[in-house]
Formats: sequence, C-alpha cells, structure tokens
Amino acid sequence: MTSYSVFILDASSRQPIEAELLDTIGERQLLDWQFHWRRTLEAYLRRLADKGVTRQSLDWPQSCHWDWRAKVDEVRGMLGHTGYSVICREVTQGMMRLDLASRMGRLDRQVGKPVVYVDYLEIAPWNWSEPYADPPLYRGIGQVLIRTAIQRSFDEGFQGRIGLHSLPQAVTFYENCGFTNLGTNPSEYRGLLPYFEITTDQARTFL
Amino acid sequence: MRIAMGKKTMTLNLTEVEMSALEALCAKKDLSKTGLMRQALRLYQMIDTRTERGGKLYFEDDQTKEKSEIMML
Amino acid sequence: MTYSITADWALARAALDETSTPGAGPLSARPHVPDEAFWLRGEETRLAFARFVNMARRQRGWSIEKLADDADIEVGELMSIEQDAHHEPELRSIWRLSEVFDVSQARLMELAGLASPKDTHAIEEAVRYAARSTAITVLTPEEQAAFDGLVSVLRDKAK
Repeated sequence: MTSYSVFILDASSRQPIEAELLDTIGERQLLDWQFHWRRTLEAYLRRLADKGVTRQSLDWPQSCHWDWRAKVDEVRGMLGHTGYSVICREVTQGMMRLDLASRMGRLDRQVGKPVVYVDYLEIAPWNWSEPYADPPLYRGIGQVLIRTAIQRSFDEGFQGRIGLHSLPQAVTFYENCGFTNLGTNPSEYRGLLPYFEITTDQARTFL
Repeated sequence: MRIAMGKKTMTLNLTEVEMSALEALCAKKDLSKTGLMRQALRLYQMIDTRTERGGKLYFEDDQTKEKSEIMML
Repeated sequence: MTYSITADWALARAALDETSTPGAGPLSARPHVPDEAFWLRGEETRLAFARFVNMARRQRGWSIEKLADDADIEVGELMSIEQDAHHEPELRSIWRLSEVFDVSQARLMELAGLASPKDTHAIEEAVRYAARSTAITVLTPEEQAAFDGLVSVLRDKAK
C-alpha cells in the first residue's frame, strides 16, 4: 500500500489542507464508511424525510444504497480492479473503485481503445453540496480522485483516457472538469446515468 | 518474445500467426505487447472469478438481442 | 507525473465542485433496507400509531382522562400521542398501552417509531389500515373494520 501527499480544501476558509491519497480501500476506510459516513447519511436522510422529500424526488441522494464493503469484496484479488481513497484528519473523505481492463472508449477517435473506468466514486456525506445538507466541510476531493484516475490511465498506457457513468447530481461537476458528456443509454443503468469520457488532450489539461 | 512483468520476466513462445494477431491487437488498442498481455490476463481472471461465482458470460446480438453463451470451464 | 498533488493545483480547481457533488457509478437499489425504511416512514407510522390509540380508546367509549387513568400515563402525554405526529412517545407509555389494549408491545413500538421493524410489510399493512379511518366520535362500520385489521396486525406475535 502506498500513500501520496495531496491537498483538499477547507470549505469555509477555502484554504488548502494536507491530505493523503492511498492506493487502496482498506479496512480502516470501510470502517469509516460503515460508522462515520452511514451515521451522517442517516441523519441527512431523516432530515429529508422530515422535509417531505421522497425517494423519487431529485433531491434524494443517489448513492445511499451503496455498500462499499460489498463493492470491495467483489473485486478482491482481481488484477483488473483497484481502489483509491482520500484521508484527511484521520478520516476517510472519499473513495473510488476503478476498472483497468474491461472497458473501452466510446468517443470517436478512441473507440475500442482501453480506458480506466471509474466503477464507483463517492465522497463522504459531510462533504456534499446537496439541498438541506449542512454546508460541506471539505471540497476538492472529487478533483483529487479524478486526477488519480487520469494519472493511473497514463501509467497503464491508456494515454489518460478515462470513462465513467455520472450520478445525475454530479453532471455539472464533470462538465466543469471538461469531460465529454455522451448522454444516457436506455439499455444502460436504466437510462439514468450519463456516460462521460475524456481524450488524452482533455486529460492533460485536467492534470 | 520476452515480456517484463514488473520484477518478473517471462519468455513466450508464439507461432507466427499468434504473433501477428498480438501485434495487430497492439496497434489497434494502442498498447505495448506487455500492456496487451496484461489486459488479457486481467480480463481472463475477471471472467474466471465471476463465472466461478455463478455468473455467465454472453455475447448479445445488437439487433436480435439474442444471447449466446461463452463457455468458461 | 506523480500521484502527489500540490496545494496550488487544489486551489486552481477549487470551483469545480462548488455546486455539484462528485459521484459516479450505477445506483444499486437494494430491495430491503429495514433501517432506512423504518424512519423513512417515521411520520406515516406515527400517524398510524396515533390513529390506533385514538380508535382503541373510542371503541371502548373512554375519554382521554379515563385511558390515562387506566394506563397510568400522563394525560398530556396521551394527548400528544393522539394529536401530535412529531411527538416521540415514551417507551413506558407504549408498553402500558400495549397492555391495556392487548396488542404486541414490539409491534406497537415499531408503529410508534421507537424500533426498527422486523417485518416492514406488517407495519406497512398497519399504516394502510390506519389510513382508512377518519376522526368521528363513534367508530363507523368502516372504521371498525379498519380498526379490526389494525388490531390483528398488532396482535400478531408470530413473527
């Protein structure tokens, strides 16, 4: 396991804070998820319910059913998958699972060429910018994780190409990052998640 | 052919036809020979692990939506 | 190129996630998430609980004071239970009410929102029955039928 020095931002002061990037999702991360993330999430969902927000509503957080332990167990021992996590002040702030083998590009110039695909990416609930949520504690975690995926893509020989299916509420984030939105596909994830991909040039710009 | 895999080096004996196929794939996928073989290994392991757990691997015809199974023993 | 990131880099990209929370991956809908389902319906089930107490009392022809007396519960607590959906009933009150009305304490606790349902289906059923009733002094035949259904669910200790 390797750890790298990165920076995220304190949301209120907007000042950079030192954080750690790990090239794994370890037991400590899963415990943080199980206890800290879930507890904050439950309080937030309770607040939504009190406000009359239902599961069908657009404000309903879309990753709330994820079981990270299962997602890690699924790919344990597989060469084709890997994970990264961001830690700050001893607490896991974000996690990401990657597919290094089975996904190919869809953008014109890179159809059929391997991409690093982001299976799952989630940041801790106390960092969300969502309706009725408390103001986020930290920002910039998504940027760190995406940059990591791009970096990994270069390391794999995929020239920085990455692909992912965006949660509906994250669409603006990826567009801001300069990714190409290829839209939704009815036969994929029930047509709910738009697919984003970047080219080598877009990757270099982001880095 | 020699392939360096991290700290391990391996020699592969391929026929000319196999070598051509490998080189063609490398060109198409824009990968080195090592990169391509690495992908092949990862995919093979992925498929093996999932079919072991009870999954099935299919090709689905785009037009007819018919599925044809790929047998993995 | 390395995985390390500088403070400058982080600052330069600060605005990217300002209005949009990063996330990726397919939504994995889980068919049965009891803890979540429980307080998701917090208000619904508590209304059903209030309806139950109200109907059970009226079915016996009792005033709130009489019930408070018999169940050894504060009148104020009882009134809040029947009328205020946001009121969190005391554990003891629920226990006492379950005794007086002869229903499962566990089920009543779940309905009152004090416990996570072991059987969300049953609680959903209870909520449906409760929803069928309206507030009139004497139970109409419809209310009676709804009430009977509610009671049968609450008495079911089998699960």
